Amino acid sequence: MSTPLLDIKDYSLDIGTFDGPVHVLKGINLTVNRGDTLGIVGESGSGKTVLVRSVMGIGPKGSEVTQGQITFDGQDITRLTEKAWGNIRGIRISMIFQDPMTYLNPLFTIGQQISDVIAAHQRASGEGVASKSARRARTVELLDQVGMRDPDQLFDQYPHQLSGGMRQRVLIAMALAGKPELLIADEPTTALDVTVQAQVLDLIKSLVEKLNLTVVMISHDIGAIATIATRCAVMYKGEIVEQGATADILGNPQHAYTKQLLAAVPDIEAEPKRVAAAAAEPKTEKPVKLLEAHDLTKIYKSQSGEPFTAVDKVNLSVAKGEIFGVVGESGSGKSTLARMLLRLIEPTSGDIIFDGQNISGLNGEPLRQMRRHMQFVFQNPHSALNGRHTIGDAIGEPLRIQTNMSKRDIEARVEALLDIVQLPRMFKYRYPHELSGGQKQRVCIARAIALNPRLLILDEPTSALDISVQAQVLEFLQQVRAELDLTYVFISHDLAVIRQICDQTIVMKRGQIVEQGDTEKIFLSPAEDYTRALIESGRKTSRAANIGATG
Amino acid sequence: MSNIEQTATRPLSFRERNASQIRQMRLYAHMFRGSFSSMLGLTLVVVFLILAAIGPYIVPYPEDTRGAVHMAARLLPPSAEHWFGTDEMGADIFSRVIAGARTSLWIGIVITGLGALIGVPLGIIAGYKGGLLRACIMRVTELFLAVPGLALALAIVASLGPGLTNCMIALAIVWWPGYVRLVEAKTLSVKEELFVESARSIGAKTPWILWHHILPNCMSPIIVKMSMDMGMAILAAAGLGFIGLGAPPPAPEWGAMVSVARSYMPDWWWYSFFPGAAIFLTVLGFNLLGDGLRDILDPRSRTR
Repeated sequence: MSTPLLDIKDYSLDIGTFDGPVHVLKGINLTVNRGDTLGIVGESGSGKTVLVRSVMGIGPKGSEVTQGQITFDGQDITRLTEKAWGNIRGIRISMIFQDPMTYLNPLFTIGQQISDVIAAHQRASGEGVASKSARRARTVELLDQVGMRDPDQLFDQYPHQLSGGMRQRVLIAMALAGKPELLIADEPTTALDVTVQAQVLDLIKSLVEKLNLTVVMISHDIGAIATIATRCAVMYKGEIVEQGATADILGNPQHAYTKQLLAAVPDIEAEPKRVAAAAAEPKTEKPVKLLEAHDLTKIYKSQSGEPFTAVDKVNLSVAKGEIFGVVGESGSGKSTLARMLLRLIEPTSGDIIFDGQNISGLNGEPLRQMRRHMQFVFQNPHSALNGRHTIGDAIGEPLRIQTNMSKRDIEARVEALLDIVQLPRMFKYRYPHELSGGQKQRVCIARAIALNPRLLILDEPTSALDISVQAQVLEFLQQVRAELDLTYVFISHDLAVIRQICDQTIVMKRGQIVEQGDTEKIFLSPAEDYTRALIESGRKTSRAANIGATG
Repeated sequence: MSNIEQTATRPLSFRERNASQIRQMRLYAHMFRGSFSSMLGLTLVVVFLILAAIGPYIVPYPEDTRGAVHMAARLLPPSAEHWFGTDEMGADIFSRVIAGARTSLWIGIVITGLGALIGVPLGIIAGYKGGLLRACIMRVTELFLAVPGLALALAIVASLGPGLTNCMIALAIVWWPGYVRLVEAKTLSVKEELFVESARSIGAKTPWILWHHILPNCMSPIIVKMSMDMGMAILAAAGLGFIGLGAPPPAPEWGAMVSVARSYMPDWWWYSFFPGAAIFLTVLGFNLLGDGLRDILDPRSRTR
């Protein structure tokens, strides 16, 4: 027991590309003892996934270990053959992946997929495959272990019948099938809703205690790491910049990057600055309504012909100049609502009134003219930009469509817009794939404000971005709003962000508004159970991350 | 950041502005060079194109390509004087094969060009608009696909009358359905992309979206299919030429040459062998080139 379970020594990895080798990992030193829970934090591109994949022997194509080694339980696994891996991968080390939606085969039942894994393990370990009924019993036991209700019935269900959180539990059950000594969790909660995130984290935590697992969890969410891991390492640009006990690192960060990362985490408990500012500045005039919706409803017809109500009789009104928040879990209809407000999706019934004009009946040219005044910023900046257009083309596109400006004027305006979103002017010759996520989102915002709109609808504008970038984009959004006198409708599942920036908020559940009103009021005294549950689960991870900062 | 801003004040050179495209092209070239078959295909196609461009000016017996008769030099085997031998009219086969390259290139360009010109817009409209319009376009397309292409082309040429132009028209008519299928499928996936919705939200009209967003993203498979189809179209035209529906006899067309030559097999083998080899190498070249282009343009292989 004196030897550590996993020992990574001075490990460096290059990936060969056309432009020459990229040093993805640089001199990584990590030790994991039995019973440890280690969290690795870092933003996308920091090399954390490559690191844990190397531990599993599934590193990226064209990669080359330049120095160092990985030792697992005294055995050097840096350069194992595929055959030797068979006895380790999935049996002694197993992994939970990020996206539960794509890691289950839709053509097989849950039970079959897990019992196949069990059979594979038994075959690999040379025990001989157990009978079908024995494997079924073990599968049901595993499903029970991960907290699934009615595991017997679940055995015969298909992945599409399960929700995201349930699928993640199934994947965890699958990872536990071989009784692994080391469990690697690669962003296990990133693709899940807030309330489900908290549940899955609780599950992993209880499993660690019950089964005495050794866990390496990677995440960009410091809250998630803080909930699970006793020890933690911070990765930045392929290096581990800091490691130690989680409480120490969060409470007393040494490296500049860690400090910056911690400062960027939005705190759900903090009273936003704008509340104090609003109190100091008494309202002089009655706010003008910019956008109103009356009984807005969208009914989709499912394939079986049954109607499905995505948005159900929503009423809302957004005052000029405010930030209007929309919170809800995935499937609550918030994106549908946002698209309906812009008439990107046709509402089934109901009225949208923008600046005193009912736009729900507009068509053709008048609707096109209307689009000048209201713009949309999409959730995923990576796919919201056409990969074949340069950044300059993308930002200039609304000008080319909606105005008669000359080519030279458009060029000038594009440069001005790049200045506004604080990107270098030479970026107009670049292509989207050369930019980082945060830069792309800035380009999307520049594109949205090109026509001087009055209303900007932001659909989770930061959820595809890293935390440190998220903080920058949020701050920047508030700056732009002040400069250009904009009104925002801000959609998010992240309550901490909503509390920081929104004046008014509505909480949505299954297409209906469950609660609405002043943001501070909702956060301090939620009236509905659902809102309370949402805030509570948001609080859980937020509090864990801010242990050091507040206490 | 600050040093970037400083450098940005002076106008950028062409090289700097297009740095990413230059890198992309170099990457393509690098990947293409790595594959022997792609390079073989490219070489064959380049040789073919050069012959098509300058062939008529470099052939040793230009008058033979226009149907000159030398009864004294009938059916001579390959020699230093006549590299590929001579045919039953005493014409130099080497000259005629080279001159045939231009005809074949013309056939290939016209057929694939017309096919794409008809097929691509129909495919984009069908994929983007959906509904009844799509159903109509796709059913008509399937109707054409259900009949064997060459048989249909045969019927069309037969009704229009034999000749090179009619042969090309007939083949173009049977060629477009493939493009509709290809482009429709690609459009269906591209139109779900966020940037299409984004363009709609800034008020873009449908033609703008089709031209600026859908079409550029459909270009890779279209280019690949066109380069592959060049070979197939040349082969199909040679087939029609073989059964006497292509270019009339004195014209140096490969299919027609093989057709006449088959009655001289096997004693005068060179007569059919060299035009046949020309068809074979050209079709092979375009197919290998198409394969190579697919490999480098396919986003799934773009890991680097």
